[in-house]
Amino acid sequence: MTALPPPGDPAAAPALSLTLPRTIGSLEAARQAVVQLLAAHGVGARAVYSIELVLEELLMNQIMHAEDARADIGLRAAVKADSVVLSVEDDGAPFDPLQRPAAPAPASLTAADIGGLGLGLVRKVSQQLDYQRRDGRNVLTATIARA
Amino acid sequence: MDMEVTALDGDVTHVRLVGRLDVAGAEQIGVRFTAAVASQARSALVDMAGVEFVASMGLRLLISSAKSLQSRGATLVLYAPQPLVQEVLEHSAVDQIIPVAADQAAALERLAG
Repeated sequence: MTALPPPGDPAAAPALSLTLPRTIGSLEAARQAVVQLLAAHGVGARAVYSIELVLEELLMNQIMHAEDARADIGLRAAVKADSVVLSVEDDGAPFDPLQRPAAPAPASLTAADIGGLGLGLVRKVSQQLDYQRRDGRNVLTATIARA
Repeated sequence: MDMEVTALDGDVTHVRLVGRLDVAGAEQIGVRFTAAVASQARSALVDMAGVEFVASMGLRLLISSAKSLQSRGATLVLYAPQPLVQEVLEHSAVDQIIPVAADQAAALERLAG
């Protein structure tokens, strides 16, 4: 992981950029780096929760589904005045996870799927969520409100 | 993630969860949780007051255990979720398929009702 400026440093850049191995261990490492950035810029608890949720869902999606991606996962986070922008990218075949239709709310416990809830949660807590294919990479970007 | 299991009167399993029910937390307690809850034909209450975070992987564990109990004629009830966890339960509509109560007394009432 790239080095970060010390927390609470007013000159600290409101952004980070990391390259992470495609393993479960990267989830906690990424979370700690992002939470440190958010704390340094006074992001509130509700936004921190939403950002941690989006981070976990997007990274797990990478780890579980981007089987043909050869390189590591790229993660960027930027703190802005009203929002935090998180983007996760990989070098796999073109794949837009947002094309999958949102799962309908389950009618009953019996009918409920055990999985597939991640994308719906990301959509609920993000102001904006988009996919781009850029320079041979899939880039998924989520914007989460700070208020 | 810590997990504490006790038995309540009336043949009810009580589970207290403390910590983050994220991917690592769900993996850490998954086997024990399933063994304590889903493999029995006893209803179960889960005290969520100490759960600081849950996302889709944690929800998977709760839903699969609830389904297992239901297939045995028993019920899983969650209670005292923290506000941000409650919002996730609502956003995912999990609160529509798994009862969520404010406290243990209300959770027991949900089992009786």
